[in-house]
Amino acid sequence: MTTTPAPKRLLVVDDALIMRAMIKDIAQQAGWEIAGEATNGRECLDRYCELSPDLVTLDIVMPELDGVEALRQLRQEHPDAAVVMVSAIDQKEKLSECIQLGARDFIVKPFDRDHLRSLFQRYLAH
Amino acid sequence: MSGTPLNRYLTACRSAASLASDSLSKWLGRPSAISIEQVEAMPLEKAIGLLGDHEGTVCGCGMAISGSLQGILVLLCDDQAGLALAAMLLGREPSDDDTWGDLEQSAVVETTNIIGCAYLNAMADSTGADTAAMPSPPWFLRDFAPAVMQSIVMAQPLTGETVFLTRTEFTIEGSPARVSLVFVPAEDASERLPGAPA
Amino acid sequence: MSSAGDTADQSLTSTISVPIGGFATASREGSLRTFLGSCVGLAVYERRLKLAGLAHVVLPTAPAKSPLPGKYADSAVPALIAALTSLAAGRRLQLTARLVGGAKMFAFQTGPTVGEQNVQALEKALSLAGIPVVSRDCGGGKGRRMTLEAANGQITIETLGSEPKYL
Repeated sequence: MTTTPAPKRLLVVDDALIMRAMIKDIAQQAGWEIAGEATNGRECLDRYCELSPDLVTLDIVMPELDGVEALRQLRQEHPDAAVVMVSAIDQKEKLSECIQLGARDFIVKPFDRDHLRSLFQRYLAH
Repeated sequence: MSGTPLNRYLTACRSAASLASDSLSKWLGRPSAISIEQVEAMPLEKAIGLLGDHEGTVCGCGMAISGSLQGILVLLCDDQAGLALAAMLLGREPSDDDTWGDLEQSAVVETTNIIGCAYLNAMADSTGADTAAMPSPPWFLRDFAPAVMQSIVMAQPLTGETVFLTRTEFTIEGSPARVSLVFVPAEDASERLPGAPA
Repeated sequence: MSSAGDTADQSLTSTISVPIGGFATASREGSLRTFLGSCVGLAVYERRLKLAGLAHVVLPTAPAKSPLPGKYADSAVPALIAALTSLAAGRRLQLTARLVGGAKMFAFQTGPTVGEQNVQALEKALSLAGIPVVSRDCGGGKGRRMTLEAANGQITIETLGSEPKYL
């Protein structure tokens, strides 16, 4: 008897509703299931514990707790957490910091939809 | 501002508008082009009447700018264009049934963030300043067009009878939507504009 | 009949749109209309004679010479008084004033806004002219469409998403 593997689950973290909607849409097209959403870094940490997603997309600039600090705390508590940072074009220094903190990848806004879809497909296969 | 400094400022504005147009194209996933470029000092009344006799509603999303560049930057569009932005970003065709909700408002705000930051970064680079131009969180409003224009033009202290403003209008391929980016520099920061004498 | 600072309108029941920085008067059945964001609408009315005046004020203080007296709080008041006096053709005026507008539509604006400054400047100019301010609808964060009826002095204030208000 063959069993279908459980779909991989994504947590989307961004304070902008439209960004969350776009990322969810592209991720679902690439075969991901959406585990949940968060609107700031603090919610991200809480939801990660609740949902144990396979991947997180994490915006850098957010209220309450920004993406860099959320990544730092997330990776301390969950060293295996797989995170893709979402940044604006002028945040190169913060991106470098995020890669050093263990982020797997990054996308830069405005992002190319095909590029993001390929990224999600790549992480689906891992 | 006139002569050589004005020409330098015009060059900076064109470059910034071009980068903003590229950002808009990438953001929407379809080509955009610049249809209007306006850089001039004008009487307050003319600036407030920039959108013509239009008395309907417009959407505006504004950011106060500080740092190496100071002033107010606003994205303006009519209802049809504003609603179309959300539809385009979600990969669907706009519909006559589209109405204003949180998603549509978020689409306008994020568009302002993205093309506004592209424009500001290019303008700030032109000043050769060490510090960046820093935008405030964007503020969305939808209101009568004349009221919105009054508030844009009069948003910062004015001592004179004229205001210097930059307006770029973008068209989007396959859509009747038109989006304008208006930058009104702070009156007392004009010496820091690109092209101003050092 | 309505008449504006720039144009004349001979229609008895017409609505005149008062432009930014302009002012206009109306009598009997005419009405005056303007849109207000941060600017302030100064409505002056003579109830017995059914004479109405509306100025769209942009800034508090006029420079030495301005072709647009309606644009400034301190010149709009005497300009409206003069226009209404002319319409009254020798009859004594008992004027009242109402103020509308002066919104702060962008939350990031700090310090006293030009709207607040205009309201203060108008109150001072009206006080000097001996005209009481009998009501106002100022401030807030929304634009307004204001219509002043000469027949009864009623002001209708429309804002998006809300029921009209009447002064």
